[in-house]
Order: sequence, then C-alpha cells, then structure tokens
Amino acid sequence: MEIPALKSPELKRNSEVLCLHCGLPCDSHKITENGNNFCCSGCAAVYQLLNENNMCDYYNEGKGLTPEPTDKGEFDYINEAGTVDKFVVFSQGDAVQFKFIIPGMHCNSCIFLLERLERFNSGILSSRVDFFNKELLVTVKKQAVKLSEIIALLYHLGYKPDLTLSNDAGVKKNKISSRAIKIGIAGFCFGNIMMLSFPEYLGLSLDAGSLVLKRWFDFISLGLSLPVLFYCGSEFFESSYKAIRQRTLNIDLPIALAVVATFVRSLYELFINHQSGYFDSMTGIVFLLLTGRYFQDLTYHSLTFDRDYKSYFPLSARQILDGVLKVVNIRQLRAHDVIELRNGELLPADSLLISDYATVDYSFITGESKPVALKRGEKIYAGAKISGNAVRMELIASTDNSRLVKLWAVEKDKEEIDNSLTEKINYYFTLGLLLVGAFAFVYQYNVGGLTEAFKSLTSVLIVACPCILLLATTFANGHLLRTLKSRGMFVKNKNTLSTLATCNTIVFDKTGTLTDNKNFEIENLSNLNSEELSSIGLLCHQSVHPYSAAISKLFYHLSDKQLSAYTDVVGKGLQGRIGGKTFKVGSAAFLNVEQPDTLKHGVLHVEVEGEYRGYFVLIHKIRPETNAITKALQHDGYDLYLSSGDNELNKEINAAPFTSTLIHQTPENKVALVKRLKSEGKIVCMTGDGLNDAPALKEADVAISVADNENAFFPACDVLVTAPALSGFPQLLKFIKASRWVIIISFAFSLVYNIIGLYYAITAQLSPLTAAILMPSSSFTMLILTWVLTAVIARRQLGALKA
Amino acid sequence: MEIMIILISASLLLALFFLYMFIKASRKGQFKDTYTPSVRILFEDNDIKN
Repeated sequence: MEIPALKSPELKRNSEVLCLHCGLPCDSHKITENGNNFCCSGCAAVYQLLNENNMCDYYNEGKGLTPEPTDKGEFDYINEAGTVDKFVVFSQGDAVQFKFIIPGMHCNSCIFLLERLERFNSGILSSRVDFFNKELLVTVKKQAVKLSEIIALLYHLGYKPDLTLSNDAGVKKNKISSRAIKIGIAGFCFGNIMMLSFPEYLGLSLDAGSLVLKRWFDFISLGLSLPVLFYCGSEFFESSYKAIRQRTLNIDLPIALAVVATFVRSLYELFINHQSGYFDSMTGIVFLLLTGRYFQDLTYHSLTFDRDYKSYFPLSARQILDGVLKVVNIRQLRAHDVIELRNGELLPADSLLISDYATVDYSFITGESKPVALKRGEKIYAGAKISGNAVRMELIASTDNSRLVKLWAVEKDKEEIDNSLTEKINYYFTLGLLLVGAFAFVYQYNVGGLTEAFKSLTSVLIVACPCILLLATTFANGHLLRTLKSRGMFVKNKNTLSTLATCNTIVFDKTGTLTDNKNFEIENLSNLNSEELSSIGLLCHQSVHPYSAAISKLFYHLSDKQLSAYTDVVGKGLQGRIGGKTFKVGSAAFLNVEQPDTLKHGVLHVEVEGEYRGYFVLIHKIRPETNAITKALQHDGYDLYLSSGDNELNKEINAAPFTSTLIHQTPENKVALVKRLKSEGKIVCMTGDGLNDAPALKEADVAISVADNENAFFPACDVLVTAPALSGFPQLLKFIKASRWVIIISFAFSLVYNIIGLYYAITAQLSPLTAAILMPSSSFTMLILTWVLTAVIARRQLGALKA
Repeated sequence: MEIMIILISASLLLALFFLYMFIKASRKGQFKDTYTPSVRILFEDNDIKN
C-alpha cells in the first residue's frame, strides 16, 4: 500500500528555507522530497525512513538531530559477550533489556522518536525514555536482534549512545533515588517528633496525667529516631569510618559525632534524668543535611563535565589482517597493525601512512579545518580526520600511548588539585571544630562538672555542625550554577565561579572562539563571470574538502550542467569538464603558478581552459557578536588579548579593542603568554577550543570553551559557553561578579550564627530546645536568603538575556 | 486526655501509611523522571493503530 506522504508547510526564517528535519537553513544544496525541503541527504534519508514507517508525526513536534551515516558492521565488536553485559539491565526468559545513555537527547521530538524504536525493527519490543537522566531502555527479543543493530539504528537516527564502555548499566546504582527515600523517612520522623515535642516547646505546666502522656510521647520519639539513626544517617557513619581508616578527617565526622552524641545524650536524659531527649534535633540534623546533599547532587547531575575526548573517539577500526578487512575494537589495536580509514574518520593512534597520498585535517585537535597533504611514510598524529579517499596506515603506538591520551591525562591533574583543596579545608574545619568541642568540654568540666561538660560538647557539635556553613555556600553556588546554565553557560564548580569573579584579563583564541569554524568569508579575486563561477561551484560541490564546500555553498546552484572527466588530486585540487571547458581549482602547486608571498593559506587558484584566472581567498568568518562583546568587556575593565595560530586577521578583529593581538602563535607561545600575564599578577581567563589550546587552557586560571554544539567535542575546560550565549558573555561575567555578594552575605550570616551559637554552647547556656528550633529555622532562612538575593541580582544583571 | 493517645496513634498510623506509599512509589521510579511522562501523554497514539 502506498503511504500518503506528509507535506508540511514550508519552514522559513528570514526568507531562508529551513530544513524540515533538522531546522537548519537549506543553502544551495537544497533537496526536495515529496514537496518538503531538506538541507542534506542525511536529513532526507531520515525523513524517508520516518515516512516509510508512517511516523511523520515527528515533524509536528519540532526539530530533531542531524543523522550520521554509518556502516553496517561498524559496531560488530560490541556483540562480544563481555561488552554486551555492560549494557544489559536484565535478561529474563526471551527478553533482554538494554540501557543506553544518550547525551544528544534534547527535546520532545527525541522522546517521540526514541519511544517508537519498535517500528524500525520488529525484534524490538519496546523502548522507554528517561529524559531527566538521558537514558533509554530498550527491551528486545533475545536472538532476534543484536546489540550492534540497535546501536546502528540509534546512530542512524542521529542519537549517538555513549559507548565509552565505562557505563555499567546493570551495576550502576541510582544514588539519588535511594537518597530520596532516606529524606522521606527522615522528614517523616523529624516532623512527627517535632509534633510530639510541642508540649516541651511551649513549656506548658502539666498535671500528673499529662506527664504520663508526655512520657509516652518521649518513648514514641525514641522509636521514631531509630530508623533515622541507623538507616538515614548511615552514609555519614560509613564516610567518616572510611576517613578514619585512611587516617584523615572529613566533614562527615563531626556530623556523625554530633548525631551520636545527641542520641546518647538523649538516651541519658530519657532514662536517667527522666526528661525528654533531643530526638528532634538529631532527626532534624540528618534530615536537613540529606536535603542539602540532595540538591547538591541534583546540581552536579545536570552539569556533566565528565565528557572527555574519548567519547568522540572512534570505537572501532577496520583492521587489515592477512588481506582481509575486519572490524575490531580500537583497544585491541597494537603497534604495527594496519588499518584502513575512510573519509571523515578519526585516526585512533599515531601512525605512518602506507597509501601513496592522504589528506587529513586536525580540526578535531586544533579546531583548524585547513587540510594537510601527506605522502607515503609520513607520520600522522592521532585525532587527524581523513578527508577524501580511504587510506591505509600502520600504527606506531597502541591507542593508549598516543599523544592525545597523554594530553588528557595531564588535564586530569588539575581536577585532583581542586579536590584535594576542598579536602584540606574540610580537614582543618573538622579539626578546628573538634578542638573547640574538646575545649568546651574541658572548660565546662572545670567550671560546672561532668554534666555541664557533656552538655556543652554536644551543643557545640550540634550548633557548629558544619551544615549551615556548608549549606550556605552549597545552596548559593548551586543556585548560581543553575541560573548560569539556563543562560547557556556551564560552569564546572564553585571554585571556578570565585576565580571567574576575580578575573581581570581575558585571552582569546581566534579560531572557533571568535570565528565560526564552518563559515568562510570568501574574497573573489578572479575575473570569472557568473556562468563560470557557477561551474566552479559545481566542480567544488563534488569534494568534501572544507574549502570546496565553502566555494560550492556560495556559487553552486541546481542547474542542468553536466560534469565530466572529474578528478580529485588529494590535497592539491580538483579538475573537471563542464560545458565543454576544463576547469581546474586548487593550490598554487597544482596549477603551477607563483603564489604571492603575502598570501600563505586559504587561497584557491582557478584555471579555465589552461588560462589562469585568479584566485579566491578564504578566511574564517568572524562571529557577528564579536565586536559588541569585546567593546563591552573593555568597558568593564578587562584586559583583552588575542592569540591566534593564524597568519592573517580579519578586519573586524583589528577593529576590536584588544590590548594586543598576536598572530603566528604556536601552542607554546600561547602558554608563554598566559604565564607572562600571570606573572604580572593578573588573573587570566583563557578562551579557546581544540587541543592546540589545551596547554594554554590548563595554564590559565579559568579555561573557557565555546561550543557550537553542546554535543561537540571540547577540551577539558572549567567553563563551557554555548555559541548562542556568547553574545551575553559580558553580562554573565558581570552577574558572576555581583553574585559573589550572595556567597559573602550567606557566609557571613552563617558565620555570625555559628559564632553566637558557639559562644552560648561553650558557656553551656544554650538549651538544646533553642538549638533544636534555631537549627532548622536558620537553615531555611539561609535558603530563602540566597534564593531571593540571586534572583534580584539575576534580574538586574541579566534582565535582557533570555533564560 | 486518654483521647489524645488514640488521636496520636491514629495520626501516626495514617502518617506511616503515607510513608509506606511514598517508599513504594520511590522504589517504582515514580520520582525518577518527572519530565518524560508529561510529554508522553501528549503524543497522539492513533498512529499505533495504522
């Protein structure tokens, strides 16, 4: 039966025709299918796939993702038993359930499409999306469908699952949900104990009958506190036990001590003194701390910065073994293995070229899409992207030893230093608190005796219980991070926030940061007429080379012109016959012409019928907002530097207010610049992309990356700014500066609270009753305070920016 | 005052019942993903019949 094709109203923006599938503007490559427009054959292919399965409702929901063409058999290595197990959630009878993490899931259309996988493959029984966790659960019939087929289908649809093989789906415990249960129980017990403690709070004078009743209440409170102590609070005990075994102190230790001390003291009060205990305080501490950590987890959960370059690395390679092509996991590759790579694939390890010629670009590493031509026997570095024909290489190192992996390993150190700093602060805070507690104990023992000493020790631990101090900064920072995130700026952690607030110097990298990597500005210095230009467009349309793509984007129109005798000399140029004329486009060497010395890169020479006709100059297009950003930043008192590996600068850059602009910069030069600025006492923020900036990014106080696409690769950085958010960058920096006050105010608030509390605790004047009321109320005040302050500052500084 | 004992136990029992429901719902993943179901319900399911 013929399925009626869906015809959607044409999507348009500023008179540009938009692709029905991905919503990007269709340029001259427009493909029309059933009266719908697509920007590329990939989008058209997915449309057909959806149309055949009668799922065009997808297009009523919005926009999807651009698919990636894949090879059948590329994922075959995943079917190995050990690898499959990492994705299996459960296996029962005839059905198996797999879990995938899909970072690219981003809108309602994604849910729609991903929950209908069974339409594409009858072996799939059902698929369920967990959007919050970016998870996809796929239930399939055993034997009927292989894991590799599901993954290939997901790739084909444009949803790359995270295949880093580190996600052990079956083993991974859902920490957040078990904590929710703990919070629920703790909150329940806390609330009920508070209710039962009301007579105590109100200080009612009770008659004999009521006293019996109150005694009952106390015992019920004791019962209610047991699950809090043994179940909800267990993580504090476990964590402090671990710390003690490692002969160190952590923040959980005073909490555990306070909880135990309060509990023991309550037992003492209850059974020896025949008084109410402080079970409300104890359960309150546990409840509030767990809540605080829950929010902290939520914040960090939504900021996944663990995406490293490995996620973008190839997972399999075609190895040539005894003349036969075999798909293998790249981890199995060793030195001297021979592999074949095709157009657009990344080289997994440093290699020597075996084929005669190859063209590669290091855009993955450096962000520079300028291709490099190589001859047989030359060395190619890991991360190089092959363009043009398939080539063969011999590996000279295993994948683990290549340069890229090492670069990443160096990056990791920075994080560990951050962690150890927090650990140090925790250590000294804990130590200080224990000392104050000990002092209070000894002091009160001499002044008021054992009972008083015991009382003041527990009061110190409860009152100065680090929760409020920690909660203050945790809540404030968490709220700030969330506010920034909603504006397209992802900040790694709170340390970065404080450094960013003090930063006064910004070093920009040009390529990919201030320029848009995919767009070239083309200067036409040839004397071709429009007819010939359109022929050049057609010729360039055949090649995947970025320069060709840029030229064809500008000059290519659908026409009935025919191209014949087409040759692509890899790394040099193109040749073809169109309309009876021979056209040649390429490097100076290709056309045997002298290139003016002033031009070094980004030049394409043209020859028609053996006659030299001039050249095109291609320069990366500057992002339109660059000028406004730099002006605003200069106005805010930042020192701006530009350090670019390029040879020429666009005129827009020269007009921007940089303190100095440096060109011809190697990665080492960039590091030297950052070092020099730092030695001048400046707090340096470096923006860059690509691994050629990685050393400088590591050197800088704050490393910022600009990402055109949230799913794209970015080097280890502290802050990630999405390209659309870049225009608001100066306001975001202002906001971060202003928001330091939130942290300072909340910190001051908690400090004042702690000092006052400690004073009364040490002097044994603090009745646990007051502490029990003060404790939660101060925490809630803190919460409301930070929330209101942040909202006010955000409105003031970011008012104009879209959330 | 005896009435208080009954009232308190009744309220505790009721609260315990709610706690039990909460834990049960949590275990079933009721709070795990609060976004997807809200979208899922809006999709037309007539396409399944075709």
